[in-house]
Amino acid sequence: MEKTENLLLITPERCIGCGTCELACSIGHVGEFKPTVANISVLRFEAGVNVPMACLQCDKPACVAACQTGALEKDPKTGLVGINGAKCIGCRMCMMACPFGNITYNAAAKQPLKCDQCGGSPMCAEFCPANAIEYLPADTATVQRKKAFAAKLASGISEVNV
Amino acid sequence: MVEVTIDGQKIEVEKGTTALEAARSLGIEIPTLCYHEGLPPDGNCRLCQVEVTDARGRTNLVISCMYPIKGPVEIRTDTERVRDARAFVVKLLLARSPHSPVLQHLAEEYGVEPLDARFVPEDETDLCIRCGRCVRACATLGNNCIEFVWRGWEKEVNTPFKEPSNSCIGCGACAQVCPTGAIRVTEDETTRTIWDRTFDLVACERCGVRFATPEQLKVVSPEFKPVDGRVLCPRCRKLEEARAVASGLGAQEEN
Ligand code: SF4
Ligand code: SF4
Ligand code: SF4
Ligand code: FES
Repeated sequence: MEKTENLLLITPERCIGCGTCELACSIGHVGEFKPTVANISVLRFEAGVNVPMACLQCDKPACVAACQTGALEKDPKTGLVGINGAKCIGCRMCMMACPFGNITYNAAAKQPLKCDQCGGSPMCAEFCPANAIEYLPADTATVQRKKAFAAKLASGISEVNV
Repeated sequence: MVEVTIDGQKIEVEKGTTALEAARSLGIEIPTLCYHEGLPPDGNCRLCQVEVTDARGRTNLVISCMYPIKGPVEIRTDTERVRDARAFVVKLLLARSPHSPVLQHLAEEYGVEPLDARFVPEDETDLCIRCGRCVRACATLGNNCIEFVWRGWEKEVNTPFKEPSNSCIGCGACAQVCPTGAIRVTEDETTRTIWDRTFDLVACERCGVRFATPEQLKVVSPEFKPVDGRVLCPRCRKLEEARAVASGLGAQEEN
């Protein structure tokens, strides 16, 4: 995480469950308001608790480990886990491997789909009305907050090295 | 770095870059069938031929997906000789698989007359063009279930002895990379069938959706981790992860 210039920080405590991020993501990627194809999803629980989930750009990404063709690679400079769709052979191992269900496969386009942080200006962060998603410089404080979020995930930070 | 000229445009490339990669980086399209960026090149279809003139002025047709640039050459991707060579390739392939839409499309582009009806067997339904992408995809995954069998006209891709393969994991990558749709994968609610082998699909222990073959999940371990001992589909994994976060924030149960 430390190498990322900016990182996408999710603060579920602030999420109001409006789903604007899903709409912004889908309009940015497929040009349509279609939450089902968004690379971010808002999971809604009782007591008004909502949790937006998107790729964590793991330090040791399970999806990259599963991919045999180099179609998924972690960029050492930006820290992003990027997709080179032309290299994908459609085995879907990445999808099976991600512990968080954060990668899907579009059979029609023959491409895996995941958060690419919109190439540097994430639409979800821009349009979130509650600042539950922010795109912040990866200073120590931000990295700490991101780790705190990751630690709350059931799989546990030690196993997956987010 | 070497400077090369492709269709009149100059470009500097790393030594060893293939003529195909160099041309594509300039936005020049060269047709390919057996080439796939995620697989080792094989150079068997010969559709991607281009003309290369070396420093000594010798001109040759080369297979661009396999031709590494080593010196300052001039490459032409659309000369008459190139078009003729490609048309010949298309003609041969079309004779083998006359009903393949990819080939019919190429035939149109390269002015190849459809085969005389007398030479097209009426029951010819083979869409395979013998490019071997499926074979290389399966090998790249380490499964090696399919190979070219027989020779000459009889040559085809199949499992050893045409028997259902023990090493097949039912991932369907072979079908995904096939440029003609020749490999059939069928799925019903609980099974997936490919290369005459039928796999039972594993059900998600939360929502019940059948999402993978047991063999796929085995291969993807150790990456794949059951959540709290339960095998979950990607969607439910996401939900369970979010629930773990939510319970820390005071929510008891999902709506
Ligand atoms: S394993 Fe999942 S969360 Fe981690 S980088 Fe890959 S897609 Fe993102
Ligand atoms: S589906 Fe594509 S990106 Fe995913 S593991 Fe297979 S080759 Fe890699
Ligand atoms: S479905 Fe079977 S034959 Fe096809 S690539 Fe996967 S393992 Fe190989
Ligand atoms: S694409 Fe180059 S030989 Fe087939």
